[in-house]
Amino acid sequence: MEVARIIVGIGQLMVVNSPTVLVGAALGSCVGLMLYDEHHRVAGLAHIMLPSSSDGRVDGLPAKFADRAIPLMLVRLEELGGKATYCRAKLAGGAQMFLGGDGIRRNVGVRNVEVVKVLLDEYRIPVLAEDTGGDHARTVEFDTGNFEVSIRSIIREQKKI
Amino acid sequence: MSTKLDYKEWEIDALTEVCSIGAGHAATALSQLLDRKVTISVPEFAIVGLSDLPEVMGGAETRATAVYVRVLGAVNGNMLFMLSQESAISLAAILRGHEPGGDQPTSTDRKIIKQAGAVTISSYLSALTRFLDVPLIPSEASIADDMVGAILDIVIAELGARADYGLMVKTEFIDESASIAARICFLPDPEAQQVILKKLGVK
Repeated sequence: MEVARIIVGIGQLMVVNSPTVLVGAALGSCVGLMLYDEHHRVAGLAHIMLPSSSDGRVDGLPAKFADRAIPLMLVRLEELGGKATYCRAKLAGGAQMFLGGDGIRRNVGVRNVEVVKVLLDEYRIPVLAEDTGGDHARTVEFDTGNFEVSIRSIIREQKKI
Repeated sequence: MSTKLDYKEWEIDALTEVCSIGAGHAATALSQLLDRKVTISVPEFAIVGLSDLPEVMGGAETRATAVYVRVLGAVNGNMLFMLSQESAISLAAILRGHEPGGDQPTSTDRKIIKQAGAVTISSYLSALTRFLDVPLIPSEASIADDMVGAILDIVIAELGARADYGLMVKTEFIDESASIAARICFLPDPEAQQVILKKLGVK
């Protein structure tokens, strides 16, 4: 049977309890956060845009800010029978796409990754694998059947984490 | 909810008009750089949900080259000069006096495209400055050559802090031999939209 593919757009998140491929397309400074509870077979992907909701407001995009996305994702995981204490994380993205002339702007990609890690640490969720930073785009495909993440980019070889 | 959707007809017309003046100046600059005629489309006004922006701009995973300038001053916002991969290679070849070759822009090509994009964007902004009578200061230009969705993250992060929607005025450029198709997009910050409209309302 063909496994469903779900594209998780910017600022959105999706949690499932059946084998699905969750896709985060063309991550630049955005971070794809994969959380999963292998024991209860629940997994999700959040396509996070910015570190902290103190930087702004949340309207229709629930996973826009890392500090809102993570607690919301854990609620959804528990609704589908998962447990936060069993959760593991994988991360991808957080690149700096534009080089040069960046002096006036904070580096959002690096900050996104830092903040996600601090928050995961507060929830005591270990990060098992990551492919973050650098200056290139990544598309992640999270297979919630085996919890493997495959990462595509234009300039790099495809890899799995 | 976010600032969105409730633009009056005259506001859309006024914004499109002012951007067409900007784009006209940008086309003149680009045509002088290339030493050939450059034609522009009528600017297109759109309110775009941030998560839809990659699709609107050609598809999240499509490869493109973009020059980005952050606009500072009385009106804050974002300017993008975007080219398909083929157009980027053609633009660099014309500016370097070469035949187009290779299947991707080289690092020298990128430096040249960045300069051309910066000049084009500056011309656009200086026309807006004169017309609106407010200073618009371009940041140093920067360039990326990668997936459209990832390129747009920089704009989406700027706009996304305060809104889920962005206002975009998009103008297409094409040169006489149709080897270069580019677009310039102006995406003012949510607060800046009101500043511009106030200025236009007085006129």
